[in-house]
Amino acid sequence: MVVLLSWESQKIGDTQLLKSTIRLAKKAVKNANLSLSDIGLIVHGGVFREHFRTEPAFSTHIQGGLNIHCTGISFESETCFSFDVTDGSCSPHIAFQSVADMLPYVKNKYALLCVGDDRPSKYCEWDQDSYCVVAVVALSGDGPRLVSVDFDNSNLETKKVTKGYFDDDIRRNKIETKGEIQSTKIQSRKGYFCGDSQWLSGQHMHEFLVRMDEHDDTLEHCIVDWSGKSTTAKWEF
Amino acid sequence: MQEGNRFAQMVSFAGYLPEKQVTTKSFAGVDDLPRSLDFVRLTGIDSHHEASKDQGSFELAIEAANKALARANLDASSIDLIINASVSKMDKDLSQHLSPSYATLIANELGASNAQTFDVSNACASMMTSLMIAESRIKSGKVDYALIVSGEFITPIIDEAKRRNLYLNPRALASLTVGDGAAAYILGSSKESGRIRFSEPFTLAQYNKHCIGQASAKHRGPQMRTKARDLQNGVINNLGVFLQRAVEHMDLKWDEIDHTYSHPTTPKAVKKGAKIAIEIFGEINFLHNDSADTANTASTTHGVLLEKSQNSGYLKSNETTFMVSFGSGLAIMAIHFHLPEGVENW
Repeated sequence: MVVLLSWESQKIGDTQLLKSTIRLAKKAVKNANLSLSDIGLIVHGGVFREHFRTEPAFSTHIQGGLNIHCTGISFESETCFSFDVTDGSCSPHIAFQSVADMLPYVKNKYALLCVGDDRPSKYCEWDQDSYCVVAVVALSGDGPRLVSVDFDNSNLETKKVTKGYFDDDIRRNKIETKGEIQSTKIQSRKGYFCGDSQWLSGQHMHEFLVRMDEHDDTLEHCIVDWSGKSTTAKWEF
Repeated sequence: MQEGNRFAQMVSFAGYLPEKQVTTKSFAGVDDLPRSLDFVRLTGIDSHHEASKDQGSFELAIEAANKALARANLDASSIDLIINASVSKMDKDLSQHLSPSYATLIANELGASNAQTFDVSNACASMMTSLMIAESRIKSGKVDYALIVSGEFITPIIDEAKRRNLYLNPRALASLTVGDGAAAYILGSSKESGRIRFSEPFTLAQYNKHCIGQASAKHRGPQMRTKARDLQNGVINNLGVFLQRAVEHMDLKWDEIDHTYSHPTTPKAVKKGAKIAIEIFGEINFLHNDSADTANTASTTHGVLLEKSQNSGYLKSNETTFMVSFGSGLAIMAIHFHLPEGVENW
């Protein structure tokens, strides 16, 4: 599918995602021995956005912040295309798949994959740890190779949903999660890692990446979403 | 079939409009707007459709998805991939769905138990972005049938705009140009190449603050703020070169395109864009600029207009269709495809 050329990640403040993504993207691109102008695709995966924003895509703000081929189209101009994907905590794996799907359509064959969430507003209860992850990804090259992403919906509970809603009592927008979110035990053994289903997507990806160097053959990374659905990414080194 | 000799094709599509129709004059009369604007004359939008009290983005999407499945003569269990492209994801009680993906709930409702599901967010270009992803999956052999679906329940932004003093908030004016609707496409595999082609996709991020949709801070429901004129200029200034690059990239002959659709921010804006295309390429065989009674239904616009064209008997099997999409951000992209076999008999 795709090769991970470089990555950066860190824990961030509640509403620091854009600023952090831009900073980490510059480092990741430099570490991959590329320049920002080599990037032809930006895909962001996450669930929560500041002010419950629905448009434009968060990735367009990353592209703008990095100033990658933002201005007008000419006959010779290079291009960059940006969009977001989401599927709860499984969003990072969907983002990797989408990069693999879309890189063939763009001229510059390097992509920025960004993962993370912002607290939508200060009125939202937020006991989550926010992480920002940025990866430079290509269809080929030196680095860990994502071989496949499989999905499993057999444990999905469709009543376990998260929504943004307007609280009439305080006249502000808040987050509501229906159904009990159960913590799952972290599973980390040779060739396999699965985080806590209470984590946000950024933490799932961060905790996986920091363990990546411990493995030298293949590694399966499973993400179980709050809703029970899961995805498993298989990496080769 | 192995990758390399496996291609994608449009198997079916469907648009859905809720029954209730609301005239533009009923909420944007001359007395309601700054400088006594004649909004109908300015935009060309006479009316739009609004979801019933029992419908949100989800219910609208299900209507379109079921229609597309029936036209494709497919059971939902045959679908391997469902991508939801709705921008609004707004429930009937005006709450915004966040997690898991809306596509997961849509798949569950349809009984598509074998499908991978996720959402794509790229404003009004979400549908075309999703079509690209689906085409790639089909060509790679990982997917046999993909359903791309969207329901847009966005007319609450009209109410939000009306609550504002539009004299003081001209950036809310574009909120009066929207309507509710839904669309769905089903892609499947083909042995024939070229039944679907895409342009290079562009994001001109210098315009990423020109149209912002988010929850209203102090009222229930969404709001949209737009620098409409600047955004339209961004499109118009780049459209000519984009179209020339797209036609060359897709290896198209302009005079062989049977049907052309543009994202209808307004019918007047589409006319402006068409003028640019005609100056470069010559006459457009059939421009379906027919959104005067649907308004801008966000990601679903092309599907809604295709449905109207089909209902009017304009579409025939294997004729070719060229659709240009714009989304705030600013995304610009195009698709060319052959209409499904039997479209005239649906």
